[in-house]
Amino acid sequence: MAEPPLVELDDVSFAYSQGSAWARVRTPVLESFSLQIAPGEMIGLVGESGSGKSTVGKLCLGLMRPESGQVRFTGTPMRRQRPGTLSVVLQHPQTSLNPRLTVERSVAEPLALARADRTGRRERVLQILEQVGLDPSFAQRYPAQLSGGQRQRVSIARALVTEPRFVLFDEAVSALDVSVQAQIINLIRSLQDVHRFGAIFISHDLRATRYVADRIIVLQAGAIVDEGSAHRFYEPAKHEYTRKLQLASDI
Amino acid sequence: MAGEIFGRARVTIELAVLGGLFTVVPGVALGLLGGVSARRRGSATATRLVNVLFLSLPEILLGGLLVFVITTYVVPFTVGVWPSLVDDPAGNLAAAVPPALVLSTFGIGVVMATTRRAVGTVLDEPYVRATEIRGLPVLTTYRHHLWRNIAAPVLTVFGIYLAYLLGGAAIVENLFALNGLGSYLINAADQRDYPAVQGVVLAAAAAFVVINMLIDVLYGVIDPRVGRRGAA
Amino acid sequence: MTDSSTTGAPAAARPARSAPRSLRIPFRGDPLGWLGLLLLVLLVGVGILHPLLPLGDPLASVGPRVAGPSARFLLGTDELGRSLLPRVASAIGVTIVLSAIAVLVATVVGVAIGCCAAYASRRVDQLITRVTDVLFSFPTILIAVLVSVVLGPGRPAAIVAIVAVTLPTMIRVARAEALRIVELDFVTSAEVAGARLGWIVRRHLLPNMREAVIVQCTYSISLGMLVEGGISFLGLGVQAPDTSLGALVGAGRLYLTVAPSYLLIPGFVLGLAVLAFNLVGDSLRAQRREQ
Ligand SMILES: Nc1ncnc2c1ncn2[C@@H]1O[C@H](COP(=O)(O)OP(=O)(O)OP(=O)(O)O)[C@@H](O)[C@H]1O
Ligand SMILES: [Mg+2]
Repeated sequence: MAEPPLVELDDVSFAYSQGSAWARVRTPVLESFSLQIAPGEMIGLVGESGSGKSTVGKLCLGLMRPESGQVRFTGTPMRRQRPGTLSVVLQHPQTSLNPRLTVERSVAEPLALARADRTGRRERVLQILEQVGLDPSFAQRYPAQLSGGQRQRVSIARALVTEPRFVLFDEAVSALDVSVQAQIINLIRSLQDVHRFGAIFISHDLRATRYVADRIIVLQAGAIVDEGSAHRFYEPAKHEYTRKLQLASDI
Repeated sequence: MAGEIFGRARVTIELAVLGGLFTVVPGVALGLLGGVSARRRGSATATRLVNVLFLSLPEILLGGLLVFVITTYVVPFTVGVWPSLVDDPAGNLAAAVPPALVLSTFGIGVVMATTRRAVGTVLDEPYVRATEIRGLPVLTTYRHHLWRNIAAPVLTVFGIYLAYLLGGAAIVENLFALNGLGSYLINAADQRDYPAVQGVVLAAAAAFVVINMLIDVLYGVIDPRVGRRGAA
Repeated sequence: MTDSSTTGAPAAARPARSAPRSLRIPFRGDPLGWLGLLLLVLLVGVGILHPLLPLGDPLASVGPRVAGPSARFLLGTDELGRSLLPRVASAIGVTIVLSAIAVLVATVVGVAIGCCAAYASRRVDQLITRVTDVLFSFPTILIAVLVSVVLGPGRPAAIVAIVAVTLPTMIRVARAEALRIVELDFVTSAEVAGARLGWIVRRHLLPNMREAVIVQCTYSISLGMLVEGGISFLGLGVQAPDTSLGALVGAGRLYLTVAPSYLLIPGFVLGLAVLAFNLVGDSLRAQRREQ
């Protein structure tokens, strides 16, 4: 029998609700939405702002519950996973790290949560820092002493230090300038080759996405409008909206 | 008891109204001045010092000092009497002004700080920075904008303060030997006269509710777009 | 797409700052902060160390009744002929310590409630906020009177009254800070990694709200001293033979025409103590805003 998908959204509907009890504003975002991510697969999620990309990502991490439908992790309904199984890299380098913690303590946090052996932690932290291209001298720095790109590298190190099975990269490179973006994308690609974690890579930028992802999903107003393996997106797409995205990100 | 409470309420309400006046006018004025001059380092420090002094002056010190001065020297103020406002307005003011001044010091500090902060917010807006207008002209050039930014927070602070004035006149009435609600409350507490304590607390709570309703109405007048609650 | 820079070249190293943005007690170039700190150290020092200083016995009747300052009794004497110098000194300690204890309680409770409110369901949060608002706008002296009527006058009543007065603001500050921090990305990362409420509070919320809470503490301590002064003045707080600055002012009030210094000196010292904490708080706040 085939291996179950790593993460699966099965016929999921979701809406945000805001406001007080008597003046509730409901914002429906997803309607009967389904998505499967295989172990070790990197999904690229592209679409315009507000199309629901982050919402899909948060549902996959179990940060929010769907209104209806089911989220499954390795075939069983999503619940609190063992610490270190899931992780996330978010957009803003300014707030992705606790300003009170050294790089070492930030990166070691998921290990501590996973109750990893105390003595091995330090070595593991230095090892993963090296993998993201930061030498050991960075371990004792505070976030205020790092550039945006370096902070994002630390976030990636923290996300991967426990060898998670699923990682969400939500606009992990959007706030960086173009040359740094390229470095970070290369880094994610090469780390994924080594660690084979499943992942969602969210971005506005189709060019970056088709470079890292195995499969790309195009989202518009909460619905999948186009989908296919990444190299398909190098050719001019048939779908009109996808072509617009291509035009926006290609020269 | 109800009769006594009403009779004494005259004193306390007049103190609160006068104290409120003495709070808002100088508080807003000092806050505007301080906020506008905050760009220069020296005057910013002076402003902060003045503001902190208002917040630090104990009522029992200022009140004691005033009572001492009034009872020792010949001054046009009185202690321990409360002529009716209608029959003897001058005598009434002579009795009411000093305790009202004492009541207002802390409030001046609070209103001043609130106003300063609001002025600071306006001055930090990019278009204000861009116009290169500095100093007092800012007050007239951006008066609508300033007014909108200052009115709501000052009103909030003032509402809280009015409730305090009504209930908190106890110290001042005690110092100036006035027969108001505050001194009545303290006497009742001293003698463990629970019904009397309850009576005053109920009266203060009622005043508190009424004031808050008035303030909610005023919010609507100041800014018709959003009620205070709607924004949250 | 080449990975040209980084591998953490030491060249990228910036001048290492020792700690992240945090309160530095030497208020850089702020004379008001220094003045406040000086006053604070002086008053706390006298208030705590007064038994060791050669000020005299605060409880012994050694001089004339109710006299103004003289060479022998620098601050004068009270109605029992006791020297006011040691009495004021010990009263400083009582006033500051009572207020500090109360604010400590208010801080612990307020931060706990604030953090919970930030994490609670919206309905619970609204309830907490509404109750805090009502408590906040309730007249200070009324609270104090109710407390002292229920508990009977004395130190505990003074402490409870100060807690009741300072708690609402502390809850507001802590809640606002917690709400701000909870939204930050590093908290989400920790949650995804499996952190629970206790971990997030300890690791992320408390260290990042520390400064705002400390600033609020200094303001609360000065407000607490004013409250203590007021209710002890009215005879609802500290009772004889115990004394505090407010109680001294209350006693001195009866002899205002004979010896005004009996009221004015402890009143002035109370003002100085309040000023000291307010100046320190204001300086810390100004420094925070600059960052
Ligand atoms: N906390 C929230 N409360 C209410 N509505 C929300 C909330 N978060 C998102 N939304 C709404 O849900 C919709 C989808 O939001 P989502 O964050 O998933 O978009 P996105 O594709 O990630 O956009 P972006 O590219 O700008 O990050 C948007 O219309 C947004 O306004
Ligand atoms: Mg998003």
